[in-house]
Amino acid sequence: MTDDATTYPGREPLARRMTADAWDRVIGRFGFAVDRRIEGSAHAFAVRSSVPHGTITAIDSNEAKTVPGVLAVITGPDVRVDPSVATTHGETRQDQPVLAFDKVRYVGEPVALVVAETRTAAEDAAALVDVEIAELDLVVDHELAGQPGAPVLHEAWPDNECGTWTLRHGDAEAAMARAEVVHRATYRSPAANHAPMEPHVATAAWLPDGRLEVWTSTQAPYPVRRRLAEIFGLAEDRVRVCVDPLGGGFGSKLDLRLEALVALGSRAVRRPVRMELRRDEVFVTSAKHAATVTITTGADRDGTLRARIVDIVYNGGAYALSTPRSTRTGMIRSPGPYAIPDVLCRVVGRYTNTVPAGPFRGAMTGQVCWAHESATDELAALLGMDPLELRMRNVLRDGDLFATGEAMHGMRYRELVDAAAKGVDWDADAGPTRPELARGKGMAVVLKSTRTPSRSEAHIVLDATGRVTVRTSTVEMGQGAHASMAQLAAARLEMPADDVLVSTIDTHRTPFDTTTSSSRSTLTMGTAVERAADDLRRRIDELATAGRPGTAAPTHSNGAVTVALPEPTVLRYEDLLAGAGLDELVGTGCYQSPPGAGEMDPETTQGMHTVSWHQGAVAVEVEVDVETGRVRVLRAHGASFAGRAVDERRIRKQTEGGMIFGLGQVLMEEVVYDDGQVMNPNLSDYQIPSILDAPERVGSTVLTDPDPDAHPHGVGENTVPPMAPAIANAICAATGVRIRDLPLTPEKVLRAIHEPAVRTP
Amino acid sequence: MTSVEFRLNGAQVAFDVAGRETLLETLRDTAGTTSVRYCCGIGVCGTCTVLLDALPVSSCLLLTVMVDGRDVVTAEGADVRHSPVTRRVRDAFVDAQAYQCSYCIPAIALTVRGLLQQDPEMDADELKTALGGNLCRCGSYPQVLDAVRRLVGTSGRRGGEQDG
Repeated sequence: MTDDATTYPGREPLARRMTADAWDRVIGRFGFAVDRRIEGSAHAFAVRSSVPHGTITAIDSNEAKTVPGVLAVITGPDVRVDPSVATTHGETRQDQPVLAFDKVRYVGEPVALVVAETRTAAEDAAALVDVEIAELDLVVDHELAGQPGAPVLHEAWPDNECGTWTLRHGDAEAAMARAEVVHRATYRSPAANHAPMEPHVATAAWLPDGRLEVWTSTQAPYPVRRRLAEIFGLAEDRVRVCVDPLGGGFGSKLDLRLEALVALGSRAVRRPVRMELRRDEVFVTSAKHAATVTITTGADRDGTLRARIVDIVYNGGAYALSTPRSTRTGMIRSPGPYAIPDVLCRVVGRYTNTVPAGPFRGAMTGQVCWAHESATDELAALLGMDPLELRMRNVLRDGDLFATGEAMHGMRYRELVDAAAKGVDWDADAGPTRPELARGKGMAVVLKSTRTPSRSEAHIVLDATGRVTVRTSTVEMGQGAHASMAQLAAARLEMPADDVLVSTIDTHRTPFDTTTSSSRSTLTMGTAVERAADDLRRRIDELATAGRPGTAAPTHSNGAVTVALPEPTVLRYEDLLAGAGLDELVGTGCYQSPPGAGEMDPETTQGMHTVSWHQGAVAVEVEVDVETGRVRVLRAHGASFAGRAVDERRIRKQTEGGMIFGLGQVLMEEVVYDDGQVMNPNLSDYQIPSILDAPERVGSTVLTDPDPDAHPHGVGENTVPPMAPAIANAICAATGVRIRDLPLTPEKVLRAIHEPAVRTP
Repeated sequence: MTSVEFRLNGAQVAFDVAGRETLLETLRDTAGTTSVRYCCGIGVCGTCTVLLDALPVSSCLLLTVMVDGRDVVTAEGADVRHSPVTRRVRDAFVDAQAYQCSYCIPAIALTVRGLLQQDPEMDADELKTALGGNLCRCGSYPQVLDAVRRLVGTSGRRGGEQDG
């Protein structure tokens, strides 16, 4: 079928690019990472540890090698004696082997890799690799992992320590001692799986001259390039990383995942090697940090917050990944978006024999927002105040000092709280319902920072045919980043966004970007794209006015300039290039966070933490069946501050979709461990929200900054963390029971209703 | 290996497959039908949906040998000009911008199309219930419902009357 113009539906302003994209996405022709096939690829399948903690004593792969089609079996001990491969690697600590060689530290850890002609053959053979492991004592719980005598995962870290930080702002202990009212409670949240619909996939190929090319489903093309270069001892420009759009990421595709494995496989068989995970493997490849957060809050009787002390333990899993640094980020966000004069936060990450944990949409924040927003409602109950009023009294306003010592500006929390509340008719009584159904409303706010320092670069290429293409390493993963980049470039060049193309990612062609994470792209890459467009426009203007000093700057429209010569003359971009004998013209732009941003005092964590604070609020109405404990979210309204908004419909999809994503971790999601084994590594036993679980009414408010020079704010995560406390607060409003342990399953709700000990005072 | 013949999007196709090969594997790995996608592998997420003899089924749970002689239609099935329902469903999803990453969307649109072709009178609530087996991790459900309502309107099958 040819899709001529008549088959393109819709005639909205962004028609061609956006609609063409939409059409491909709907009919299934949009290409994902998993659709990338490299000619001649063999297939890899990992042999994974079935033991959570132990010492490898023997690996026998003889039988596996007899399976027809098997090309190679590579084991951890093979790699260890190979001087051309780094023994261990890691973003923050060199603690992780590509294949386990002495110890295994979690169930699912790769210990060998089978490469075969077909995926089926590789999978069959992997089952025949006999791995003998002498079992060691294990620890799954992060609190137990910090106790004396706990099993130790890494000799270099005898207390299983994996990230320790303190934030001191004023003297919280003294202020707490003076406080009129003190509330203290502990909140727990479990490990969760990102469950992107598209599994992780990667293909690697070594070129004859020793260069390495990788096609992978990553959110971090440049960090993957650096890590591969480190592991295989290559200069970075000898490694090429290409990335197609992803079927969801949510943080699970940020660290090095399959890339080193397929590179090892490809080197062994001298062919491209592809690896695509099965769903159960996705479950042992990445996870959200389980966490325990104890939060103590001191306030005046009128509800003015005076002091907050937060103690956090994150479960880092078996390897460090980003945990040693991200624990600090979580800690900084843990006091919540409140003006509190005296704050003390302490955090520690712990190694455990579980799947290594990493960023999970709303990274490190869901865990602490669960605590501070539940605590806000509990404190309101102690004070006899409306929780909405308590928030209004204390949320950050312009000029307030945050716990990092920064004076805050652009604070919109009061409007966000108000919008979220209005979205669920906060003051209206619940409608009539059956006697066993109790209704209540709840609210929560969140403060999130974005990764700082960071850098984004963009090139915009005008080619000889007049086509404009943005070259960016920002990964399109459903957030609509590529559409936003097209739109931002087009606005600066005064051309239709549908005439601007966005390249796929290739580190040989698309310039540097830190990562696609942390809701940073619209601000950082968006700024780089605008600067690149301005730069390209200047270069076009120079061509158009060359040899005519004093000519007024041309105007741009639809891929052409109008120059006063002195009669107004229209020159198309392609004709300008042809006239100058150029094949292309390139504008470049860069965003770099300002010097010193993100550098915090190592003792007190005071300083400028982030280039942008993300602000969000969520309000929900729930219905609790007090006979079954089942909770239904009837309504959810999310409010987010977008700064200078690029596209309101995409912002709404992020805001509303974020609430539905977040709903899963509140009501149903938990990676369940028994004796170190993941008990539910599939989408039947680990359920994620369906259309029938989504609230019947989902709404959003997008607050914007009308200043054309304002910068855009990230909106991809603002409504995920507040869902848990908003729902727990609504359950408490409906039933009087307070649950401090996620997820809020019917069993827990029912038990809480029938066990007065856990009721609120 | 077994020889299997079936109709794929209106064309007769033939494959030699192993007995345990799933239709999902044949469609993706051999036929290059990329709209049919792996996600859960156990028939709960709906991402690998195809229409088998016009009914939506999970291709990850079907052995290819079982579709011998049958009719298989996938989301990219090129019958836009022949099927007004197909065209209307696609338009509705595009106009509602009912996607984020969109990995699950072709299967959702195909499910709606299959259901409406079976029963053109289905209303929005019935379609929503039927979509309970199509997961979307991005949470594009409000936009999917918008697309459904653009297709069938908001009133129920019985003139807006709803069951509690």
